[in-house]
Amino acid sequence: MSTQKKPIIKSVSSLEADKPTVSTLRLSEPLVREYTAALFKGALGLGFLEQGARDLVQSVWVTFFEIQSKFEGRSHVRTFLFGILYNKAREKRREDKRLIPDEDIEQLVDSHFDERGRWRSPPLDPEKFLQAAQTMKLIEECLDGLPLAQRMAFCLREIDEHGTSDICKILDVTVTNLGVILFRAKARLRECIEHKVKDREDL
Amino acid sequence: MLTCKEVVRLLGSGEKFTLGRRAGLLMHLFMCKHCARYSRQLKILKQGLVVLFKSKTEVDPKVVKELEEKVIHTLCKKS
Repeated sequence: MSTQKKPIIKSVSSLEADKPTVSTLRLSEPLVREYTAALFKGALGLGFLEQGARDLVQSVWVTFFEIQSKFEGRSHVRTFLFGILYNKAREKRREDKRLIPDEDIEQLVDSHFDERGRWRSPPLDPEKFLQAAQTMKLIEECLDGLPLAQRMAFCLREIDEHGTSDICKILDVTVTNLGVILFRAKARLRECIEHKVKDREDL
Repeated sequence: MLTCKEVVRLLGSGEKFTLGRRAGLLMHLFMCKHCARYSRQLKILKQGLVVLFKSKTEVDPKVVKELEEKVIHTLCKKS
């Protein structure tokens, strides 16, 4: 191992180019400065606490520079970085076994409808739903019940407004799969909130 | 005519609809109180989540700066 420190390449041009190529993606300080904040926010959005989020971002960058030769400039560097973030997050946070399985959510949604596809009973009054949704703690609890892929898809799509094709690359899924992931994420959250409101009313 | 069950799936998928699909969906929502409720719930949910994410991801620029320095330091050591 060489002890000699390589200078940080200040390749500002790599940020200007829409799709930086491998040659422009060396250890680049501007790159770190440009994307660290976004990655950190992404980690927090995924539910990591501050220290955990910091460690996660750190490991994303280390991996990024280790595997950058695999980055072929086919996607935007931001997309590539978020792909690493997602995979690292998955490694760090083993899926909670207590989460409701996807099949159960599908069944729960289907159970609202009769054999002709009509509502058996009306969904909760939007006013009550609104009051509940304004209770941040309640939403947060429901959000914690989402599997990581669903939470990530939701973060990227609804909050960061990434494009569909970018999200598919980050999560490594097809467009159809993404539709299913988003449907399940929304269904979980909606069911969770409705359930909590009804529980409260029963008290 | 779309059933309520189909409408609920369509609303959740976030897909871009064709004009005909969109018209069918809007027509259904116009006529069906329950699905209109459902659609409204999803909108409320989205707004609530945006607020939540904003508050969760509000970061002190100083913390980000420190993190950047730490990352650069680590990468320098590695290379």
